[in-house]
Amino acid sequence: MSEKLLTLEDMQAYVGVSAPPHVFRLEHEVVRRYVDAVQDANPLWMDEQFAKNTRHGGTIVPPHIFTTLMSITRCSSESGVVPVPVPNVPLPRVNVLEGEETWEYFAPARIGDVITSTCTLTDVKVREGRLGEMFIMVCEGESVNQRGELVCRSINTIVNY
Amino acid sequence: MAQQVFYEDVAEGQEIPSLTKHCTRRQLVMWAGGSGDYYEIHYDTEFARGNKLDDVIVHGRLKASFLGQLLTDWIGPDGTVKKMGCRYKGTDPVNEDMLIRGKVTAKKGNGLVDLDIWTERPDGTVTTQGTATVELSSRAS
Repeated sequence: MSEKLLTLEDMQAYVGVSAPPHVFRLEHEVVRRYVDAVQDANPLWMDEQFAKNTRHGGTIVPPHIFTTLMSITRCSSESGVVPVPVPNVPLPRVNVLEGEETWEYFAPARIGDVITSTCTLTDVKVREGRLGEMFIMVCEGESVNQRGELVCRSINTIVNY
Repeated sequence: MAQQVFYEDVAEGQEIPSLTKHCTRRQLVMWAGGSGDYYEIHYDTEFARGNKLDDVIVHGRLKASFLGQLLTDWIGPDGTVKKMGCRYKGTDPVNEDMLIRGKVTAKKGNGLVDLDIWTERPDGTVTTQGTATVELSSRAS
């Protein structure tokens, strides 16, 4: 029995669907492992003595840690080798390429913050390219801290072919 | 870490201090654990070869993080990153030097500075292309 391939019309019915909110606790060890992996030794992230003499009054979490949120949100699903930004939206094709991403930063995050992130499919288009029929899917996310303050807004585009 | 940079000291067209990274397989494993991205193409050579690559490649978001560090290293504790974006144009193999670069494209007033940011392989191929907006403090403040 052959499965019918999802069409653009099928996918457009999913526009507006959001992933279940994901909670990301910015514990000390999480931030430590992140800065060690990047080899980003900026004392503002981990050195309280240094950071308390800055305008922040203490350490802040590097804003680029929010580049990992999508991975963590995605990998928490059981969707196999290539995870997706909004796991409850089906992928119309097999292969996934990361497209463009943007992150807009608002209130700085601190160690101990509890971040709640939502991610919504906001657009689906189809383009004919060298890889054949390519679905361009845009997902937009918002992350707020435990005080409800906006911390980061992200837009993630994936190419599915 | 460089001295605090101020809005008045910045010129359109100037390049900001670059970073050189060299991702070992260990670093890619640390990134997998630190980011939650366990895609095998970044640590399993056999899997990478099955995808027509010579060896494992650097995670896109690790490159994005390098771009983030490029900015935060430059702006100092008084500066703020407002926005950052990038497109993953090409792949970068493990065990290779990677140059992380940025250039001021516009000074917009109120301390806001736009930049082009990118990552480069040793032969000059641009593998990640991006832009950013930062807010710098003023000498007067």
